[in-house]
Amino acid sequence: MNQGFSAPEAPDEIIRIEHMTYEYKREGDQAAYVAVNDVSLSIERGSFVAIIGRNGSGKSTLAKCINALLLPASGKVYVNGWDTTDEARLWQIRQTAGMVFQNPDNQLVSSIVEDDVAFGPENLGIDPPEIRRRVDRSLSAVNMFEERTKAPHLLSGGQKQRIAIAGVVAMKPECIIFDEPTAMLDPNGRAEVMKIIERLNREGITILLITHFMDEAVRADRVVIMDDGRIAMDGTPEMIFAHSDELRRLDMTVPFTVDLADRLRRNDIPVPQSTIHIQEMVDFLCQYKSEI
Amino acid sequence: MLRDITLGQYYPGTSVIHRLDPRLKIVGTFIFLISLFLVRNFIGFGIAVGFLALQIAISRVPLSFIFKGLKPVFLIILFTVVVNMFMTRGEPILQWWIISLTKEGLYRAGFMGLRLVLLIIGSSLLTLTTKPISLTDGIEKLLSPFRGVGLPAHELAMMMTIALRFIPTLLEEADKIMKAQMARGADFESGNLLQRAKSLIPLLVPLFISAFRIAQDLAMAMEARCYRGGDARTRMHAMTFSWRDAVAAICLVAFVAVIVVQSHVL
Amino acid sequence: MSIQIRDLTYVYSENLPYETVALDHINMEIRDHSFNGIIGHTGSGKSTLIQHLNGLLKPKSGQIIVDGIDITGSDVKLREIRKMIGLVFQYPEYQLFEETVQKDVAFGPLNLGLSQENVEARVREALTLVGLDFSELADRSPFELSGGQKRRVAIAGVIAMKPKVLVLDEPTAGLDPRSHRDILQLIRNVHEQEKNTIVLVSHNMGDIAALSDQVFVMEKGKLILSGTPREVFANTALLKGIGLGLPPAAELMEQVRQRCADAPRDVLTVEEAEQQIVRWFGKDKKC
Repeated sequence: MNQGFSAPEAPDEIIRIEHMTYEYKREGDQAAYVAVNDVSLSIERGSFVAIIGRNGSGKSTLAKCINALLLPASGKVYVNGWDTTDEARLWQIRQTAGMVFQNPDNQLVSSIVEDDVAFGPENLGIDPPEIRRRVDRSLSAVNMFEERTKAPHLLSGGQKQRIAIAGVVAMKPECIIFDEPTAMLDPNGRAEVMKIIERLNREGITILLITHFMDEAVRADRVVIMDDGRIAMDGTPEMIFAHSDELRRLDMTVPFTVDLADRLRRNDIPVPQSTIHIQEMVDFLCQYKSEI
Repeated sequence: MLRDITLGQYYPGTSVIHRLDPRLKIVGTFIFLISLFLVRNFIGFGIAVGFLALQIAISRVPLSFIFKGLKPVFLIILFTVVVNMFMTRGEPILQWWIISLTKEGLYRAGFMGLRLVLLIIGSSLLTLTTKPISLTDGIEKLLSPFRGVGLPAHELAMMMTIALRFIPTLLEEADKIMKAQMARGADFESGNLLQRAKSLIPLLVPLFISAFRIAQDLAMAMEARCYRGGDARTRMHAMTFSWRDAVAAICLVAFVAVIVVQSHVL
Repeated sequence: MSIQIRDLTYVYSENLPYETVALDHINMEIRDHSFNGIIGHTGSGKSTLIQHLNGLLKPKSGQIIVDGIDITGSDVKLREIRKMIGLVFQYPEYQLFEETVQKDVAFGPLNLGLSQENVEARVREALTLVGLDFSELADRSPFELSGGQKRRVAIAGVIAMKPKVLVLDEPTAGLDPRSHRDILQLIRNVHEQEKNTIVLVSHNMGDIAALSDQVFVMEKGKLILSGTPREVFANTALLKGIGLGLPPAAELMEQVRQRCADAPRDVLTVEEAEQQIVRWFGKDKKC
């Protein structure tokens, strides 16, 4: 419904974070715990950004601030040019930047798949026939249309997570923030969910993916590493994973291909710096073998 | 183990009964249950059985499924029947030691037993043919006129929806925790009452913590999906009172009329 | 402690319409003091199998013989089985319940009927073994700790029972890379110090390849493959056919081999990949 128009300051960015700080006050603790510390970040419309970092580095807090589930202590967060502290825009912000959480069980509201997907659009006050269309379309988009009348607790983790994604897609968001969506899934579930995420991105939805899996991060256009509430590194996967020593210092795992590339370079095998995907390594090895 | 329990048993289908407006089904079920208390004789029960049988036939819910609903209350029915059979004074048919079976007892036992069975089948037909979610929607709609006097109709319905959704999850969680503690040598099965109550702590504490975690996660997920209470909210399944419902309502009224006339006028 | 599993069969919801054979005539031999990996999909029967190992589930038929004793027998005391075999479930931190870390870790040993001093010594030892500082954490509430710490406390709770076989069901699920490494290191340490047998269930083929002496592959309730990691992961087609991956190093070399047939085989870890590739390229002579 009210897809209000506003004049975003820079038309190509969907999210802009300016000097944002977020503090938790823990019970009993005198000092506040700074979860996010003076972070500035801009996310381009249509991009696929992976955010990695150890537990407690502030990734999740940052994500929740974009969805206005949390409000910054200082600094600003803009979604589509709307300030997240502007209460009049709250629902538009949440509709624009949807969120999928880690635990596949704890985010589904209804005991019937299609009713759960309808939950968001219902909250937005959309007309019933339009909700029906959106629900069917979103369930098809995540390959769960056949399961639409099932009960979530009978489905696998990967399937539940895809329903959660459909529930957000049905709200027609421009951006989806995924907070470790695959952490609790088995390899099959992870693969299913990653396929859907990549497809949504190809269809124009901006993706913010918080993850601990490096093989997921290398699939993004941009990788942001958070450490201790700040942005430690920010760049394309090729740039980020070229600094394997820095990554290790930040307690990150280096993707297998990058690790091997480093080792081979130490043995005078000139693996190009941009080698981060397994396919690139295969190509290089075969080509190099044919040359020597 | 605990996971095998199914709640809000619903038998999926597309029959007319399944498609009736849940509001009508809820109110109609109540009227049907009340009318059973107006029945005075077996002819009346014959009519009620016929009416219910017709509904079951239309609903296409297998009889085995219907009777499954009687299983958990079988003991209560048996008890009612036996008590009525032997405790009613009157003309004895059989007599053995201090137990006597009277004609009146037999009659009463059959009467009470039949009424109980009809009550249970009548109400289980509602849950068997109505999705739990439609049921809560119906209750919400039925209660909404009372919002003016402070009855939180939407909130109550939402609570029921969430309970339906999370009972299986919590049962599964309880099962897992129980096994984990048993692996650590916990004993849930022996000891006196106090010991047994105490032995539940390792199960209940983690279960409560899980429930709180679920509540917290869910609240956040609901908020992220723009949930802001019942106002301005639309529903995908709009409830419309159609000609089908009108016909069903007329049938119900006719049934009640027949019962009243048969039992109280004739 | 060795375990022999003979013809183990388990059926869920027997005689009901949704009856499923969860374990189908499983035969396995777990050697004393070995490190065993179990892989397979969710629903392949792994969890059902490990729940049989300490008597949480009773088989329909078959035997589990631990050190000569059939633990599926009706006269076996469960306490004896649990003394021998410790089970760490998935997300074990969700089973913490006591007010303090010390009390929680003591729960298992106390259930074994040990004396108070004995229990305290074991708690101290177990917490140290999982890399936690006893004096710092013993009196704190387990619920105040970080996710990784909670998991260590939960694992310590099982280690403190000093099981001769320690079974862990995906002990690294949901952790960040650092905690993941720490937990694996912890398991290695426990294996070395306690000289016990480890059974590790994991979806991470890299971890399984790097740690296990013996790997068991389950699919649809059956044990379809077993052997050393090298033997098991050589069955590329079979593993891929059932949708299980290979360790990344094996996957890479497999793909290389499809294009250059003379590429090295039998590569499981990144170290091996490095050595083999260097040798393949003839670079090793230079060094």
